[in-house]
Amino acid sequence: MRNVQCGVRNFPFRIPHSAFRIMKTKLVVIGGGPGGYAAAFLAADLGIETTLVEMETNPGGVCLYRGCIPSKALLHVAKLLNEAREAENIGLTFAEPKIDLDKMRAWKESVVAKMTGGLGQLVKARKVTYIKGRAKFASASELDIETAEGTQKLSFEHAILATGSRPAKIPAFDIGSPRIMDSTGALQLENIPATLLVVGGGYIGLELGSVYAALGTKVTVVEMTPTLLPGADRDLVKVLEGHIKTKMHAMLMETKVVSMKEVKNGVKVTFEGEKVMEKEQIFEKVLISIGRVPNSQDLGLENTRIAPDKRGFIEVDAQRRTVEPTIYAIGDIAGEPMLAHKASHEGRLAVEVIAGHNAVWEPQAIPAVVFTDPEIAWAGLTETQAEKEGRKITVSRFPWAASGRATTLDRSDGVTKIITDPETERVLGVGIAGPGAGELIAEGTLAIEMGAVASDVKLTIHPHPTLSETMMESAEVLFGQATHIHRPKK
Amino acid sequence: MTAPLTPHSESQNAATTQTEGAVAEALPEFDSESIVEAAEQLLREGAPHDFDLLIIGGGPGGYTAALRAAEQGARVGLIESREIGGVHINRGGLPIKALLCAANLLRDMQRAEEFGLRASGSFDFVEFWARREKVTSEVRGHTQAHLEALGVQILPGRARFVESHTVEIVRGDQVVRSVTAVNVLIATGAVPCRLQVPGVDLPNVLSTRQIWELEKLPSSMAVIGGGALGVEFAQLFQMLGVRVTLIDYSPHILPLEDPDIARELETALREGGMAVLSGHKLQAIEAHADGLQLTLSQDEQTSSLTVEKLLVTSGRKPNTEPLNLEVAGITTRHERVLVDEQCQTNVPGVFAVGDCTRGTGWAHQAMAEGALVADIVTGFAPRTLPVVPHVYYTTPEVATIGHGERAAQWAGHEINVGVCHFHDTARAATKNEYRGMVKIIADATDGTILGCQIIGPCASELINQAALALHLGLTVQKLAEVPCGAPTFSEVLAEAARRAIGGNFSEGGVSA
Repeated sequence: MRNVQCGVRNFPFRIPHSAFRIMKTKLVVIGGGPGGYAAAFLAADLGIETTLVEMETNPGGVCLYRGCIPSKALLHVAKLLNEAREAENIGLTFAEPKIDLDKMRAWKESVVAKMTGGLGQLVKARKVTYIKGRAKFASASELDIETAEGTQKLSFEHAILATGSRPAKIPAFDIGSPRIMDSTGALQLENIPATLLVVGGGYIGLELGSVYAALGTKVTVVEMTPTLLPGADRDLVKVLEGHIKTKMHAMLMETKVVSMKEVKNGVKVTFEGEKVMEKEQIFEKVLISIGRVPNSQDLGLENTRIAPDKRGFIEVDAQRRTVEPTIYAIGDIAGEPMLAHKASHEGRLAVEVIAGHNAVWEPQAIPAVVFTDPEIAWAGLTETQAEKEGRKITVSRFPWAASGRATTLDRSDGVTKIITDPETERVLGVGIAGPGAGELIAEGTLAIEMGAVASDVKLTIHPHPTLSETMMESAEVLFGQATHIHRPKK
Repeated sequence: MTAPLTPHSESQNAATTQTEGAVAEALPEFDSESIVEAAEQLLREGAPHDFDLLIIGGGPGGYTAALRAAEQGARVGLIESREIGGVHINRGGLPIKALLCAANLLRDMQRAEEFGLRASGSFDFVEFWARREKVTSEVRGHTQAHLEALGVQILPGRARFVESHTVEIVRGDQVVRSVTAVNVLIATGAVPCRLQVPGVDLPNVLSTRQIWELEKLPSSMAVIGGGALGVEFAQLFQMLGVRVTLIDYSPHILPLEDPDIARELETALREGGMAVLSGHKLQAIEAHADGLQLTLSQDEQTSSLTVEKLLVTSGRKPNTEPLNLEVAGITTRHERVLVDEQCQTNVPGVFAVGDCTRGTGWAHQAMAEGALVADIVTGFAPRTLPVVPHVYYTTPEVATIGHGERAAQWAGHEINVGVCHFHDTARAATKNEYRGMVKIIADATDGTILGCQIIGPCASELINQAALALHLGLTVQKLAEVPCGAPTFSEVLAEAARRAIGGNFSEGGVSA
């Protein structure tokens, strides 16, 4: 049914030994993460001859190899572990689960291999030319690609730069200790340490901390600011805090890590702050999760007019074009938020622009999802943001204690809220805290993107009993309040 | 439509001293067409009446209407002969979901060996079964408290019409009270009807009501009926370790859905060890020493099956017989109350919602209808009801909305179908739940979404994005553009939408 002219190269590609031959491509995508492969695939679907350059054998990027996918796989394990331990509430009894770490690691790796292998097949099916190697710009129209067989030159009409990001480091703590890990190291699941310090109360630290806590590690989280997930609305975070407190050994808020020193049985960490009683503690392992930095070095950008900013981001216009008209940048390298689904949307947008479509980047709502237990998700305007901008909003909140489905799941501590414009009742933002929030937010995103008003959400019949009814019911909360204004006059 | 009703404090006080027939006596001056307006006029003038809205039946349709109307300041009475919440909260959908959720954990933990978790689970059946009461009482308590907080007067007893706007409340054999209301809403639901099969009264043949009194797990069970209750009960027992046979007369289970979706569920159920006999008719039940012997027929062939228990989930009929509807002049057909698009019966000011208008249906459908009636009687402009999703809480879940493929074609559409399988996606891999697909049906000419069918993990929640899209009249192009979180199951929906765009996107795109 789908009438697509697919790519043009039908031969199985091999890098020639000599570098005399300069290859040519219409579009080259540098980096095979969720932004890069989405761009390459759409380009191929649109009939654009496409080359994808990536250092791994298969596409996938951080998201699939060292990020979202393995962490979500492990979070699924953690969820089951916790459910089994709390099963008495639902009339079941489980013996304390036995954990076979080798098997778990193998499963996690099989999930990654399955996903990345699948992408590799899609590359072939779409006839995208795949070069395993590292690309550097020689100019704004040519790349040098270091491959196992030598350096290959590739000239291009358009390039999409999608090299992503990596975990940020704190130079002072870079003491060469194998006990100090970043998220990549933590996902290796080398062992289940007796104690773990998570530095940073952002989503990566909380997700991975939750995994280790479920596996039996005593996890301490240290965060400089007074609250977890800085940037997210407080009412949502509160639901998470209430739950996570019971899983973690300690939460050190408004606390700073001053120094770390490797000692015989762990890492000795010195804290500073009023909230922490013991200023010196020893942890078997430490996870540094203080954020990510864009991969904009060693790309040969000096051979173009592109200059990354202080933080390493590359400036782009509404069509994701850099100062070089032939080069686009998408995903983590093009700025916050660093989210896989933002990258893939930008990637597809850049391709549409290259294909000559009239498209610009104007999403109203990129959903953010934290896959902790409970999940937290929001899209569009947040209360925090509205407050900062001094914008008038109406917030209608529906506590899950009144949801039948939440009761059947034994999870009534969640909350769903809809943020609307007080004048027009247009849905501006949605925030959800509770199990499944990551899926529920999709309806909110749709409502925001399509300019729905609260009554659209209210009047849509939601099946009962589901958690998504909480979307409908929060819209009804608003409606109840606004009734005296909007009741039809005779 | 008339102006919104405003509560009159003086008539509110008078309500408790009201006697029957006050409005009725005043009514003959008006023709029946304008009876509602007339009654409302009387109300505004302070005419005596008990309630603005009298609701018969406290199930999902009834209590939703009560809450919504009371929120708008209407005086609401609710007659209920058993517990608030109806079959759905007390003995139907809600408790099954709670138990399925628990049983699913047993299944998940069994499969967790794949990723290195081992924990043997056990349960005490009586305790497990009793959890139903914990969940139902919590939800029922919450609903009841909410009703009371909004001032809804709950009137225990059975209802019997004496006149179109006057109802007697009967307890035992005693008429305890007679109440008059401007609007009456019939929301009495449905009751199981007797299966016309020899042996149906044998002791081990259970109805969906009797099943909750089960004291120990049988070793084998047959379930009659492949609708929502049938598949959910069948899977629940199968997950608890019972050998289950699911029997349905239709060519496939889930007779309301497209065959490919139904077959996918049949396959999943069989993989879990259930015997699924679609296209089989139950001919007779006999009691033997080793259990119940069922005689089944398919086409001309007969077969037999021996099981310990038989659960009958099919066959419900509207619960309208005791209402004395003829007296009020309310038209019914096969015991169903006939209603128009606004849920109004032939008698103005008398409405009916939920299963009493159709025999079987969805709780959320009754709830939406209840809300509609509440809105109408409190003065909102009439509107039509949006499309109703269908949801089955099996594993994998099934949820559908709008047109299926055949229905869309029958309706005269040329269609594009976009299918995305869960096994292609990251979220499925991380959750170890690969089975299922999302199917989006769109009009081939303009891309308007006509329907969506999902079988797979989280289908009951995913369907709402499609529901909202249908409500907004979106095209698949628009739905495909909306960013979704990664990795989530919602991505499958977006991908199916993208695939339902068909050739138009790339062709039009390149030339644009």
